[in-house]
Amino acid sequence: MKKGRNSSSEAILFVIPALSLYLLFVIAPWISAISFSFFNWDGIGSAVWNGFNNYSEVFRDPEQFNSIKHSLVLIGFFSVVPVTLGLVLAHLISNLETTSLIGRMSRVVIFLPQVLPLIAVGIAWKLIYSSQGVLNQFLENVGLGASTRGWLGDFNFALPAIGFVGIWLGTGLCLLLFNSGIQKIDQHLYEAVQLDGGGRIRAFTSVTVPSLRPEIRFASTITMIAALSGFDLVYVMTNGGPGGATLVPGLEVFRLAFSYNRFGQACALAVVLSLITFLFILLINRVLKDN
Amino acid sequence: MKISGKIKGVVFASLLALVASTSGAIAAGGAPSPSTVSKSITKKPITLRVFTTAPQNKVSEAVAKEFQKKYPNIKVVVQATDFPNYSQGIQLALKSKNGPDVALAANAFDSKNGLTLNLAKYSRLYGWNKTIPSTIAQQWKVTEDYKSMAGSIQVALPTNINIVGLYYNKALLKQAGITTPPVSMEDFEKALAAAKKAGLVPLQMGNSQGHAAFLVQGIGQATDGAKSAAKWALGVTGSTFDTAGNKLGASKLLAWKEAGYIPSDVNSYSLQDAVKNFTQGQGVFLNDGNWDAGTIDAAMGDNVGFIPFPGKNVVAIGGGDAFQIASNSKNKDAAAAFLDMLISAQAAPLAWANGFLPTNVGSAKGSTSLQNDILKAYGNISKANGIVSFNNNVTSSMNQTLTTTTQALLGGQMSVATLISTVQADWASSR
Repeated sequence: MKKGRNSSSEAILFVIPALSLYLLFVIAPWISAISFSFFNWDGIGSAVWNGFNNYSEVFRDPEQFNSIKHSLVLIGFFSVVPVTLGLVLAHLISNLETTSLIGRMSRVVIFLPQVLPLIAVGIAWKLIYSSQGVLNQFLENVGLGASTRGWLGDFNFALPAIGFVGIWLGTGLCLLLFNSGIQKIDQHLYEAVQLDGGGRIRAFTSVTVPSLRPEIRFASTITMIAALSGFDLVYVMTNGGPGGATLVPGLEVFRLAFSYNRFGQACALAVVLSLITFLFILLINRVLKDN
Repeated sequence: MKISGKIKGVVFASLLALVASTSGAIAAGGAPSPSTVSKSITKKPITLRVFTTAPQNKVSEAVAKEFQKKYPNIKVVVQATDFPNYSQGIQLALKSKNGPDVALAANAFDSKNGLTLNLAKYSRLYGWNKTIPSTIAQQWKVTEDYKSMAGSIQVALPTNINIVGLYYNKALLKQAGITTPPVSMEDFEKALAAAKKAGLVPLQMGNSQGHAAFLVQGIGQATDGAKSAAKWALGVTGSTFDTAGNKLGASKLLAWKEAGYIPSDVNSYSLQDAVKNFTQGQGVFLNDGNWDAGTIDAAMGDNVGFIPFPGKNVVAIGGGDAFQIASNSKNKDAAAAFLDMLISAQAAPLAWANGFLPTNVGSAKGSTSLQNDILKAYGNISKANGIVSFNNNVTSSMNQTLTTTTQALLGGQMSVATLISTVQADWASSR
């Protein structure tokens, strides 16, 4: 017992540096955001107690409420599709020789978006989607000239256009995670499926997916957080436009605080956003629990 | 376990301390008046810090050189950022002890927390009111309740003027069969239709940042007249956006998009992109401010002209850069002397050389045909007392509201009536 106690105190000493930074830069600002969220405050002058009014405003103000709805749509693009696509791709290339040229190249190409700064990604895609951009040029060349448009200025296509970038970004990360997870799966399980007469699809549903549960949980969590807290891509590509069609909570918090000088309101929306994020993470962990 | 208990205590206490320290806020009191004002400047070596935006910094730097010649003991440091970042950070900079002495004003109402001075005493001392046109000066004078402009508290000194008008491509206008630039609304619509018929882009525009609002305001005030339009734009209580002119402006914007006078993908690109398109021959007209004159002049030379926005009344959306003095400044008199030099006859050519129209326009002469057009337009507009503040500046969220609503109108998501009522609701929420 004595030995155990010593090692736990030592462990705490090792944890202190990281923990104190975490408390100072994550937990403390979060707590002060919660306290500001109950005030009417312009960020400079005196703050006036406002009770829960800022919170009810989050759901009454269409601008703020719609931003939350948009982020829920983006979960599909940033999280659900990349995780699903990543699983399928990982399963498909799991048989490829890891050292083969195609195997290496496909991993590099699919993972590349992950290492680019999001601002650069946003600028590049903004050019691709522009009226004279590559996408419209391609459509012209294949005879679909009638479908060309300024994609990011179109009410129906702006949000999916940003979402597509999310798929492009997230799939590589998911693939990499699942690919490394697959290496750990006991090959006998696949042989057992084959012996029972199951094909590749059966192997996917009965072996790959259940075995990758921890990886799926992790990938879903981080992509979900990226979907809900997104700011950079939208800020660069559309700044919430057209007409608020791509406004997301991260951008709206920034706008409320620094453009409209409504600090308390910005904090309330930020707190609601963090609660929604928690809720989703709890949900993922409940659904994808280890057996 | 003992250690962790202690840690918990320490962490909790420091959290409480942090929350307490970050929630400390200063009391609102409005812009303070300096107790004494004087034209005699200290002889001690001092540094004046000037915060501004690019490209205005070019003018400030040129004037700073002259200022340092006049007062060799004073060193002027000019620091510049781009406008969006500037407007979001300037209040915190003014609050800090190492902040600026002189700062470009981002918004007339920013002064309500007492971070900048009421300049009324300096204005009387130097006679600034004689130099600055009243239509421009009143944009930087707020009422005691800090809810509207055109009041008595002078929060900043305007140093240069921006006017929004109509650029036109001379060769393309001729190609469309129009010999003289439009003066009335009917002329303008006739020219747009002729341009469309000739296979040209009639009116170039970029609305990803909401600049279609210029057209609504332009038509609105040319119809309603500067006097009533200015009241709303300055936030004077009792005015409304629901006027015949504004309704006409919004309906024309929509009708012109539907008629193909405005590019169909207008929501997907910005004013800067539109300027580029216009200089490349994509557009007979462009509704834009003189701040882009330098770029347009360089690309088009004698082929471009500038006129006041067509309509019944000779009016223009107009504003400009204005400077304020920080309450925290230790050298307020020296800061005021610097402001005075910014609007002096000596500084006017320096402003003009950098593409800015100085408030002290007096003897300014253009060196290109476009500059002469702008001077002539400005002369006519100020003679008619036709300058109206930017609608975008009337509340801190109005720029965003105008962006969102014009995008929705052009995207077929919003009616003219809803645009008018949404804009008016934003206006009313701050009054």
